[in-house]
Amino acid sequence: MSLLNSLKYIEIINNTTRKIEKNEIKLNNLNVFPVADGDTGTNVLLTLLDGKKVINNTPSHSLKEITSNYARRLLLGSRGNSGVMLAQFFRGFDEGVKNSTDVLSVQDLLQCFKCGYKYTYSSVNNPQEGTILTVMRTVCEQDYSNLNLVTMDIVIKKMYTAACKSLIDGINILAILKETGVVDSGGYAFLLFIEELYISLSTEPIDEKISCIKYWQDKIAPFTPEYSSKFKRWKDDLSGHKYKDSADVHKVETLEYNFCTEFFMESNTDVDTVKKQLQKYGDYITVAQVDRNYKIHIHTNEPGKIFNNFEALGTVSQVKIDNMYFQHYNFFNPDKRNGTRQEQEKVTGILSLVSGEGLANVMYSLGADRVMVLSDTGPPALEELITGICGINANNVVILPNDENIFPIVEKASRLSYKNNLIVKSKFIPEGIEAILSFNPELGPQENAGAMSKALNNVISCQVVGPGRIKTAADDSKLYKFEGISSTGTILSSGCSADGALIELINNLINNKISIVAVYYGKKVKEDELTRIRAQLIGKYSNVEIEFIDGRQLVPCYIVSLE
Amino acid sequence: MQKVKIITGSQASLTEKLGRQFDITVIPYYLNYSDKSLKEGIDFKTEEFYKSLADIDNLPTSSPPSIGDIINVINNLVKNYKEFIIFTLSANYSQMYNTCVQASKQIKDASLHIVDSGGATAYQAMMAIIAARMAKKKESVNNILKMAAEFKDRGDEFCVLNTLKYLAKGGRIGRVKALMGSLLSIKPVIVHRDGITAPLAKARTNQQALIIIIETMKNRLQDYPGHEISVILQGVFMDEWLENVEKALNEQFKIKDLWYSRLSAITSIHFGPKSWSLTYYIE
Repeated sequence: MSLLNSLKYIEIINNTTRKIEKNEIKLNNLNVFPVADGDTGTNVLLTLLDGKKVINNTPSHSLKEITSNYARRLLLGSRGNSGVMLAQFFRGFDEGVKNSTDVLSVQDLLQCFKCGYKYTYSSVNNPQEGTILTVMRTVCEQDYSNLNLVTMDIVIKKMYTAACKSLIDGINILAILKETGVVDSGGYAFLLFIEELYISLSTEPIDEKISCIKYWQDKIAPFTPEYSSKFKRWKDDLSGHKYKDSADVHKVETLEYNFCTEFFMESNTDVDTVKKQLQKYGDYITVAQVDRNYKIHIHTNEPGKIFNNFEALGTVSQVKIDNMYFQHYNFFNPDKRNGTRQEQEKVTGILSLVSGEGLANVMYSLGADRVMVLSDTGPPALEELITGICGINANNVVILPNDENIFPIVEKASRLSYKNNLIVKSKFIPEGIEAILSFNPELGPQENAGAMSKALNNVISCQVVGPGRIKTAADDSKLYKFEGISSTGTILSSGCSADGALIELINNLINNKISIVAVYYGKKVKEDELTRIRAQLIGKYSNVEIEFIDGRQLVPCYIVSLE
Repeated sequence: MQKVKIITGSQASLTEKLGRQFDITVIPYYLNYSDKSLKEGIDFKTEEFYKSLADIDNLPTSSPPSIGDIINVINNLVKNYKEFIIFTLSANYSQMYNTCVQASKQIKDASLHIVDSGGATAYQAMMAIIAARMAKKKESVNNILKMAAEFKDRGDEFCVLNTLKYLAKGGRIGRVKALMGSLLSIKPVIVHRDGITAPLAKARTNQQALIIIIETMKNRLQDYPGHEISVILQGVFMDEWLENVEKALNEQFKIKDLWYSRLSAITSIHFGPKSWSLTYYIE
């Protein structure tokens, strides 16, 4: 009779990971619930790959030690809803192992499964039937006592049959699954695990008749023509009616909550309080816990508020936020994907914050991986920044704030996010441009951040602001004043028109060391104003190249760099 | 009488004066127009050609000397020399290396060594100058070939282009391509090393480019404490600027020799006006 020992356990885990890797795309395609963001396969795979690192590196042959290390690592590395649930399952499984001998009998195995299910169930705030949870529960709730001969072969077969059936039944339980005709993606991933259990522990090969994978291949849908047309119709419906092809749309009607948020917290607060606190902010809450360490998953519109609140309870770190609208949008518009897995992973990515679309184009043209155009109304939201950081396919992210006023919030986002972030403190766009020019992809992140910070001083930054009213004795309200100011706020020129202030500013600053002047003009600058400026400046300085760039920022009217 | 004669192609950018000074024979490249083919340094003067760079859409193409040209040069010299070393442009860019190898098969009464310099313009010129200096001191061919093989550990050529347009048009852009598409004017700093052209940095001004180059040289020189360097400076319409470069180098390094040259016509087609280069060799 086959028993589950540490070697078998390692074999099962490794094979499951491999199987998930093979099925990553399929699992992504199946992902319609809770949000069709097409990342379940990827999330589960990344979770398991993280766990795999420790399972093959635990020197001990003790099952207890191995399951314990694995559970802990899985929890720390878990991603996404299904990833967190799987991690919880293995954590419960580990609890079960702790209460048994180092080689699991059939009864022990069932007990461990029950613990796993219990843990998973308790970590989810609003358990949904028809999903991975139902598959776990159904497997555990089978009646194994009446079997005359409780052998591993019989039990495994029964577990597997129950899992297959439960997964398929889920289609009729959850409306969205029925509508789309697919099984739950997370449940499918769990079934793949049970299948590996079957292959490793049973002396019999899998019965083709009950093999979900084989038998249901045509029913687990995206693979059949019938399904494809149905799926396509559904996609068209969604993209046609509810989803607009515009990056300006931040909220989608069908998505109640926009941000899939995950983070760690080290805290003495008990798990119920944590859950209760979370309920205020969103749904699909999963709270996993090992001692003082929490791993939290939630769909919410206010991640920033959560962090502010939770920082009072403990230390928040390793934040990952995905904007589900964009994921969702990308899922349905694969040709327009700007997602993360498609792009080749880089060692170091660059995130730049700018105040105009034209400035964003300049930054992209110089190699920025992501540029966020900030609104004119105030600093960016914490969650926007973290989402921006998380969206870059690199573990190290250099951030160019290009605005001194947003340093604090950028620092906070950088500290909270799970990536290794390096802030190069560019106070103005021209400084950011100098920094990005000195980025060298062949160097490491630290070296680059150092070189980029050093480059900030290569350039003189100034801007033309206004209008503000001139104080005159006559108080002539028609007179408005524009000022050219230096990076430190010194007034260098002034005039009744923006172009006048600009020309005076440049005339004042040009000397024989200057060889290039760039003028980034804002949205409000009119064509005839530019023509006047060009006429006055070009040709005046024979050794100076003067560039005009459409920055499209709302304010200031002109950003100027001299170097 | 010295036994070894150093030869190189005109695209190595040696001035006539430097050629004479070091007794290096320069084989001209051709510029091809729709109705004629002209030899650099014979049918036209390089500095005069620079003016025609302004019309980027009507630039001539170039071609290396023919096998016959090379055989002729050798035949004229063979009375006085028994051994020849020809330094060619990197085989990645030009047929010259292959042409020389073919030519050498047809020459019976002299021994020809063909060396792919792995670089272009002044990199190749510097290698030829160092070789010619050794030849004058009657060093063996083997020693000279050894120097050439190890040259890449002691020398670099940095080129600063005013624009990438010319390089892109000539199709020799390679890895530098990543710098295209910028919305700002950028001076790419490229380095010729091991037979390829690779981007070293992006600069907005020549001054910034110079600082990056000097930093790179300093790093390189850390392995050669106390050594002198020799330098070749060249440019297209950049005489005034190159004087600044000379000043800056004198402040930072111990200079053994510094030579001014000018970019060959063939190379200027790819680099464009207002480009310049700095080549150094650690003595």
